[in-house]
Amino acid sequence: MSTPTIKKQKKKFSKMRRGYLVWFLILLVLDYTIPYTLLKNMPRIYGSFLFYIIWSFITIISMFTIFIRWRD
Amino acid sequence: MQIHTVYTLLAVGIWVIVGTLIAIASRKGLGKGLSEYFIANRKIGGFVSALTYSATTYSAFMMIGLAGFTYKGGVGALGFELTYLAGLMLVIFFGPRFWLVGKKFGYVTPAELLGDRYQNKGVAFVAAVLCLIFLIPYSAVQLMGVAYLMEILSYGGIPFIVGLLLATIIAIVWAWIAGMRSVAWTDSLQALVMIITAITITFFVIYKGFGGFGNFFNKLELNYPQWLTLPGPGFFSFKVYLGLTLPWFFFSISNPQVSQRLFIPKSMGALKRMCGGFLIFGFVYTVITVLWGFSAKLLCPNLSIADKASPTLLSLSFIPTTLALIAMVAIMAAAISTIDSIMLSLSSMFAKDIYQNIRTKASEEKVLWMGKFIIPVIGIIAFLFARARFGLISTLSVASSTGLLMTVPTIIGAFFWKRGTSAGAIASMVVGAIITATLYITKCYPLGHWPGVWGGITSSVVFIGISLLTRPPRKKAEEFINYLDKTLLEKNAL
Repeated sequence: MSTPTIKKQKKKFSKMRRGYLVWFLILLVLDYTIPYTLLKNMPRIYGSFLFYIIWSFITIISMFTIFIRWRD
Repeated sequence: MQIHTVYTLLAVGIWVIVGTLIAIASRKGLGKGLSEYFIANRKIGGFVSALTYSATTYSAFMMIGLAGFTYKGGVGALGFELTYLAGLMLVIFFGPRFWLVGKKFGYVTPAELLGDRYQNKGVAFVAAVLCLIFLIPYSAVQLMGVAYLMEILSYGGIPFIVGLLLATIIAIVWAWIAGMRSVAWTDSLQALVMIITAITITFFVIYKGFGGFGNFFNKLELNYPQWLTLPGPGFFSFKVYLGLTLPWFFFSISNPQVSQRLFIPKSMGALKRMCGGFLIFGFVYTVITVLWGFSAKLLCPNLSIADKASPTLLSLSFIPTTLALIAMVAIMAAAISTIDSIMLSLSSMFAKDIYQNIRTKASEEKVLWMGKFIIPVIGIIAFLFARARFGLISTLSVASSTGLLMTVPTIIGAFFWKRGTSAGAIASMVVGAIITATLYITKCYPLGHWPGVWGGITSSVVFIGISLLTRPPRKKAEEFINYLDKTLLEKNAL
């Protein structure tokens, strides 16, 4: 790779890293707030229980989208 | 139902024999040297890496402690454990970095990495001592869990001390036979036993005890609606939830027995499979364990000690003896696979980061000999701690992840902050650990927040503050971080 290409690539990666960090931060904020606020008075299996399942599913899929690109 | 002592010993005996044969088989092709013994010369495939990572991460805490949390606090236990699983997002960023610099600079332990990056052996020494202080009591509690379980399920036929001795010997032997190879191979067996058994017995209880998932969830909503909300019956207040999840979220980079596993995959592809495999394993195991805890709440509702939920549920008359025995072996497997990994990791840190830093001229052979010698020593210390049943053990055990959280600013700084210094690293680890241990021992929670919150804030502030006042190892920082920047691009890792 030539130097300008490397610089471009570096910039792209740095942007992506920041984007993912913000996304993960949003997910963590949701994890700490939703069950204690919106779902506080919902004593049903589709309340906090389902929220945590869906939340972790989204988090896991987000992680997969990063490491699936790693190469040897 | 009475689970006979002979049957209990038979079940344990079969598991020990199979595990030992696997450990012996793993010696085939074992080379010489520290890297070979402690990290299998970075040649473990993706599937085995995923299983050993899972078995090491998930201890007896799951089927005993998390089931107890669910019994006591409800759905917050699911949130707590899934937040812990989400902590793998740190491995997504740190995993390739650990693996790449480990391969480039030949690191065997995470503390060695820190010592070299900050160009000060004192950093490695302090990190290793911290790990020894917090992880030996944690191992002791795991051993106690196994011993109590055998005692309860054999109705006293296997006394606590016999179970304790048995668990200690198994962990020492499996760690000692071929180092990381025997640990990784036996971990793989144990991870499969853990997950298959947990799924089987939980489905059995839900279908046999409730007639299926529909009835199970209906009964839960009808009898314990509060257990499906937060803060629920009161255990999972927001401050408790934050105090518990914060240290455990950082577990994947702060606990050496786990972060050392980031050195062992044979390629980036294997590291990728390790992460994917662990995420699937962790998600399934967590959901199953929480369902198991809810089953205990419905079937054994009035227990005064929540941690007895699992053993009590296993003793119910409708659960076949064979299934209960297999479940007991699975819980033992979860504990032993964590203990032997901790023993191996601590022995490598003692040999590399303490002994070799004192005896700087010791040959690699001598350092390896010391590492092997220290495995049974750590096992015996954990055994003695467990036998004494000090009140302080459980405090230090609970504090283990919080105590090790104090290494996190130093670890983050190593990879992302060229301005970080050894003085900042040492001060932040020492001050953070002292504050954490003091708050735990005195049971003092300022503003209602747990020690992890205060320790984490203090160690971060101290690390940044002292680093800004002292001189960083510029040359090494440039070499280390610039190498990563360049190589991560090639590997397509963020």
